[in-house]
Amino acid sequence: MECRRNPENIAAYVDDELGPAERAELEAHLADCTACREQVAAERRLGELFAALPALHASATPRPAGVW
Amino acid sequence: MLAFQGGDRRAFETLFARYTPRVLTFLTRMVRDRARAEELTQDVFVRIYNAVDRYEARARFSTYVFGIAHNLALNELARAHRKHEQARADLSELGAVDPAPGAEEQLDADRTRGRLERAMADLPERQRAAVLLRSEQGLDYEEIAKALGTSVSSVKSLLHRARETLLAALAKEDA
Repeated sequence: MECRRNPENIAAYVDDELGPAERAELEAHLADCTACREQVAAERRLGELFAALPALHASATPRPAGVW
Repeated sequence: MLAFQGGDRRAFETLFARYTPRVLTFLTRMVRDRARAEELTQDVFVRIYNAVDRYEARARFSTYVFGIAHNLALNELARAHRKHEQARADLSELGAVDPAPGAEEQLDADRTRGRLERAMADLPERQRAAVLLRSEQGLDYEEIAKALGTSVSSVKSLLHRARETLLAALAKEDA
C-alpha cells in the first residue's frame, strides 16, 4: 500500500520542522494510514543509521601557514 | 566572529578549533577525498579570515561557514568530476566503513553503514549536502536553506528525495 498524500511533510515531521497545524494534521492522518506510519518509521531508522556512522577523526586539520 | 571583528585574534583561533572538525567531516563526505577536504577546510577559514570586515551577523555562524564550505565543495566536485571513481576509492581508504571483525551482529551493522556510505556517495550533490547538514551537522531547515542559498521548501524537497533514494538503495541491497 502506498500513500503519496504529502511525502515531503513526513521528512519534515521526522525532523520536527512542521508548524503546529501541519503537525496536528499529519498526526491525524498517521492514525489512519499504515503506509505513512511505515514511512515515518523508515526515516527514523535512517536517522539512527546516520547517528551510527563512524566519526571521520576530523580533528587534525592544521592551521594554514602564514595566514594568521 | 563578532569578537574577532573587534580585533580579538584569539576569538578566531577559537572558531577555527571549534568548527574545523565539523567542516572537515562535511567536506570529506562531500568531496570523498580526505586530503583535498583538509585543504578545502583550510580554504574555508582563510576566506573567513580575509573577509572579516565584510561579515554581517545575519545568521548563525554555522550557516555562514557551511555556506562557504558548500560552495567550495561544489567547485571542487566540478573540477574533479573526471576523477570520480578514484575519489570513491579514496573513501574506502578513509576507513569510513569500519570492518572491525567480531560478532555477526556487528558485521551486519558495519555492512549497513557501508551501504549507507555508498548510497550517500551516489546522491546528487545538493541532496547530499542537505542530508549531511541535517543528519550529521544538526542544522535546521532554515539554516540549511541559507547555507545552500535556497528556500526552506526546496530543502524539504531535497531531503525528501534524498531519503527516498537512500531508503530504496538500502532496501534494494537487503533484497
